[in-house]
Amino acid sequence: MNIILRIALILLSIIFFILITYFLKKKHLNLRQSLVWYLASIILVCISIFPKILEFIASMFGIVEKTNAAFLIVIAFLLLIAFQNNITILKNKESINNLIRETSILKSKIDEESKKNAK
Amino acid sequence: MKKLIIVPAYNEEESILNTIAMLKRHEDFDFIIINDGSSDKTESILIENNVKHITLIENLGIGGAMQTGYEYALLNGYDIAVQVDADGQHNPEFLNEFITELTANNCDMVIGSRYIDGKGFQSTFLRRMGKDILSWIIKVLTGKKMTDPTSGFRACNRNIIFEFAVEYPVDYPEPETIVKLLVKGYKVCEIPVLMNERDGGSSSITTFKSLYYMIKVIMAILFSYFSNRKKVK
Repeated sequence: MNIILRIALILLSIIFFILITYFLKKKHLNLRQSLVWYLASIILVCISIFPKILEFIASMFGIVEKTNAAFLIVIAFLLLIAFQNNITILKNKESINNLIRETSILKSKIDEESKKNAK
Repeated sequence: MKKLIIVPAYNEEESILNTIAMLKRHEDFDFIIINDGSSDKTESILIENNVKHITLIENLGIGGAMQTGYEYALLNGYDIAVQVDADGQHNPEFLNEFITELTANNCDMVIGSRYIDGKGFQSTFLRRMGKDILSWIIKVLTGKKMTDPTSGFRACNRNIIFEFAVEYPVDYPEPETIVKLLVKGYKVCEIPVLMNERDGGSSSITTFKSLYYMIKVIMAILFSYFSNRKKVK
C-alpha cells in the first residue's frame, strides 16, 4: 500500500475516532449508538496501521484485490446501519402517529369543554 | 345501544356539508367527522356549522383517521361504529340495514357491497378487475367470498372497535382488515348497498397509483394472513 495513502488513512481514522468522542460529549450521540461507531473506527485504525489484516481476510475469502475486501466489509457494515436506521425511523413514526391521534382527540375535547364553559 | 358514525374527511370542502345534512336525518346515530389535517376549508366549515369533529394536527392518511375514530368510539363507550365516507359515495339510507344485519345475524362486521345486486354506481372496468383479484385471493386464503373487499362503507360491533382502536393499517386498510378479522375467527357479513358517484374531490387512488396499490394490498393481505394465523394457533 502506498505510504501516503497509509498515512492519510491513519489520520482519517483517528480524526473519526476523535469526532465520535466529541459528539458523544456534546450529547449528539448516545452511548448505545456510539458503540457501533467506536467499533468501526477502531477497525479502521487497525486496518490502516496493519494492512496485513486486509490481506488475510482477502485471501481467506479468495478475493484477489484487497481493496475489494475493504469495500465488502464497508458495504456490509453500511447495509447493517441503514437497516437499523430504517427500523428506528419506523418505530419513531409509529410513536409520532400515536401522539398525533391522542393529542388530536384531547384537543377536540378541550375545545368542546371551553365552548361549553363560554356559554 | 350507542351508535356512532365515523366520517373520515380529507379536503372535502365541496361535499362535507351534503354528507352532514344526510347524516343528521338519522337521529339515533351520533356522528363524528375526523378531519385528517385538511389543507382546504374543511376545518372552518366544520367550526362555522358547529359540527362535532376531531381535527388531526397532522395528516395521517385514511388509516390513521379511522383509527382515531375507533379510539374515540372506544373511549366514549359506543356499541356500534359505522364508517361513512365524506365524499357522498355512501348513502346513509342503508344505515339501519347495517344495524339489523349486525344484531340479527350476530355479525362482528358488516360490509356494504355495491356488487351483490349490481345496482348503482359500479366503478370502472379496471377497478372491478382489481376488486375481483382481491376477492379471489381472500377466497383462497379464508374460504369466504367477499364481493366488495375495498368498500369503506362498513359497520362493526364493540369487539371490532377495540381491535381497530389498538391496531389499524396505515394505508389502503379495507381488504387487509377483512382478512385479519376472518383469520382471527370473527364473522364478517355483507349487505347489498347502492353507492353514488362522488360529489366532489377525487379518489385517493389514481390510475397511475393503481398498480402500486394492487401490489401493496396483496402483500398486506398475505402478510396479515400469515402473521395472524400464527397468533390464532
